[in-house]
Amino acid sequence: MADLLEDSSLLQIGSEGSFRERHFVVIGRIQLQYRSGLWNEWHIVFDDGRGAWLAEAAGELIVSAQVQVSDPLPAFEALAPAMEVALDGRRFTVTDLQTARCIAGQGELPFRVAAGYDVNTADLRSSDRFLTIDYSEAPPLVFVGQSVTFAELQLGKLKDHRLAPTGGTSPLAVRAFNCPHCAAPLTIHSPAIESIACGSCGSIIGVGNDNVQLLVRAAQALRVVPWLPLGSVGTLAGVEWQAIGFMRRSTYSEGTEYPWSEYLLFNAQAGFAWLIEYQGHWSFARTLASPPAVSPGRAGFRHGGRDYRLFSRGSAEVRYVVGEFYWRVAVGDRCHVDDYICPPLMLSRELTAGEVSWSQAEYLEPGELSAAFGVATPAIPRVGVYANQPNPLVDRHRRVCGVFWKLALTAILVQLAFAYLFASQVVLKQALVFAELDEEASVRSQDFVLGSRARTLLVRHSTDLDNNWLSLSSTLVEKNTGEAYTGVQEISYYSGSTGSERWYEGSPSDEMVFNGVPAGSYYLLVEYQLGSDRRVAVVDTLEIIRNPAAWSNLLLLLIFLAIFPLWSRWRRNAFEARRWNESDLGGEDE
Amino acid sequence: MIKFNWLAGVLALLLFVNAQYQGWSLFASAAGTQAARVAGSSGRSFHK
Repeated sequence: MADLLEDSSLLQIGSEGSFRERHFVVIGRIQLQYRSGLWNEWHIVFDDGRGAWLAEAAGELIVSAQVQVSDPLPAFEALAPAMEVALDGRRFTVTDLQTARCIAGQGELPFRVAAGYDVNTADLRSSDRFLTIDYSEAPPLVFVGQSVTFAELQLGKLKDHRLAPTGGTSPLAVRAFNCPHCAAPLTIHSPAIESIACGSCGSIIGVGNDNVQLLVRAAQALRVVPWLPLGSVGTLAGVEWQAIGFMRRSTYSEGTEYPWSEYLLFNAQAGFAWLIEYQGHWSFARTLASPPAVSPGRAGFRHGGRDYRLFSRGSAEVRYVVGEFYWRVAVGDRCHVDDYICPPLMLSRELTAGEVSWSQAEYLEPGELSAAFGVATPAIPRVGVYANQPNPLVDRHRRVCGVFWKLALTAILVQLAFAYLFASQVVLKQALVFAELDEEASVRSQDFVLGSRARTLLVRHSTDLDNNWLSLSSTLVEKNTGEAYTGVQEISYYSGSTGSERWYEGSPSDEMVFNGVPAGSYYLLVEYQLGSDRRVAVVDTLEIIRNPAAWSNLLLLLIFLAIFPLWSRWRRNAFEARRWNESDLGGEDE
Repeated sequence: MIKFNWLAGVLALLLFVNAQYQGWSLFASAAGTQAARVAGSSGRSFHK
C-alpha cells in the first residue's frame, strides 16, 4: 500500500461527529486521486455498529452507506453527464463521472487496498439523495447518502485541536508558501483547494499535498484587476465570506465576446460560494447539492415552487484566473452553460464531458455588496437589465392594482347606493299615443307629485317608431305655481335592407333630464309633430324617474382609474422586454 | 406614483360622488333649465 499523501483535511482517525442525531467515529480512510486532485473517503462507524462513508471532495461533505438495488445498473460507459437514470423507483441525474485511482488506505477498512486499484465512479443526484456507483467490483457497489455541511456534522477530535471550532469560530487552517515561479507569497485557505493562480506572475500552481506543483508557468496573457480585492471579508446571507479566487470568463455570441467575473468565496464551515458580476450586476451563487432533473435543451421547469425559464445557453471559457480554486483550474477551460431564470434567482447548469453541476444565483444590489465587504471603490455602473434582476415594477404594479380595486369597489358601492338607496324611483309610467296628424298636437300626462326637491328628473320615451321621425317639445309644469321647464327631443328610427344586409339608423327611444326640480305637483305636456314618412300612430311609453343614477359617470370613473394600472403594467412589461432583449431564446408571454 | 395614484383616485371618486349627487352626466341631454311661468295652469291643461 502506498503512503497517504498528506493533505490539509481536519479529519483524522478518531474524529467524531453526528449524522441524523447518531454519533459516529472515523475509523479509516481511503485516498483517491483523479485528474483534478485528491479526495478522501473516510470510513465511519455509528454507535450501533453500522458502517458508512464520509466523502470529502471539492469542499463538499457527503455521508453515504452501501445499499442493495434490485434494478440492473447501467454500464459506466453508457453513462453521460446530465443523463437521467431510474433506480428502484427514484429518478437520478448523472452529475459526475470520474476514473480515479485509490492510492492509499489507513485504519480500519472493509477491504484491502494493497497496492491500490483503479476505480470508475459515477455520482448521481436527485432532489434529496446522493448516489454513487462504484464500478471497482462486479456487480458494482451502490452507495446512497446526502450532502451535509461541516457544522451539521458537529465534528470533534479534529486533526489540530488548536484549530477546532470553539465558540462558533471557523476552523481556519491557512497554509502559506511562495510561488515556485516568482516567489510571491501565496496562501491556501481550505484543504479543498486544488490550485492557485499567482496574482504576480500569472502562474497556476497545483495544490494536492504539502508539495505544490507549477502547472502553468506565467502563461496568462490577459491581466484583470478584480474590483473586489482578494482577501476581502464580508458577510452575506449571515455568513462571513472571504474572497479567495477570481476568474474572468467569457461567452461568445455571433462573434461578440460577453465577459463576466466570478469571485470564489470561502467560509470554513459553509464551504464555497460565488459572487458573479456582469456589467455592474451582481449575484451571489452557491452550488446546488440537490439539483433539478432537467434534460438538456428544456425551455423551462419547476423547482422549489418556482417556475424557471431558459434565458441563455452557450459555451463559457475561462479567460483569466487569480487566487485559489477547489479544482485544477486552467485558462481555456470550456463548459456548456444553460441559465434558467426566475428573478431574483437564476439556476445555471455547467456541463463538461465528465461532470454537470448546478448553481443557484440570487441577485444582489451593488450597494448591498459594497456594504457587506466594506468596499470604498466606486461601484461598477450597471448597464441594462440583467437576467435575474428583480423587476421593481412588479411590486409597484401590484400595489397600483390594489389601489385600483379599492377605489373601483368603493365607486361601485357608491353607485349602488345612489341607484337603490338614495331615492332613485319611477314617479310616472304612462302610455301615450302620438296620432298621425299633419300638424302639431299635444298630449298631457297624468299628474305626479314630487315630495321633495328632485336633483334630477329623467324623462324617457320608449316608442314603437319605425321608419319615421318624431319631434317632441316637453314642458314640465307645476300645477299650483305654473312654474314650467321645457326641453326638446328629436326621435328618429329608420331600418331596411340593402341586398342581404340589414341596416338601422337612429333609435326609437330617447331620454332627457330636468335638473333641480322643486317639490310640487307636476304634469308633463308633450307637444309633438310626427313625420309623414309612415302614416301610423306611434305608441310611446313615458317614464319619469326621480334622481336616476347615471351609470355613464361610473364608467368614466372606472376608465380614469384604470389608466394607472394600465400604465404601470406597460412599464413593468417594458422592463421585462429589456431583460429578454438580452436573451436569444424568446421573451415574455404576456 | 402610488401616492399620486391614491390622490388622483380619491379626488376622482369625490368628483364622481358629487356628480352622482348633483345628477351630472356627460351623456344625458339636459332639458332647458330656464323656468317659465305658465299662466292659469292650475288644474287645467296647457295650450300653446
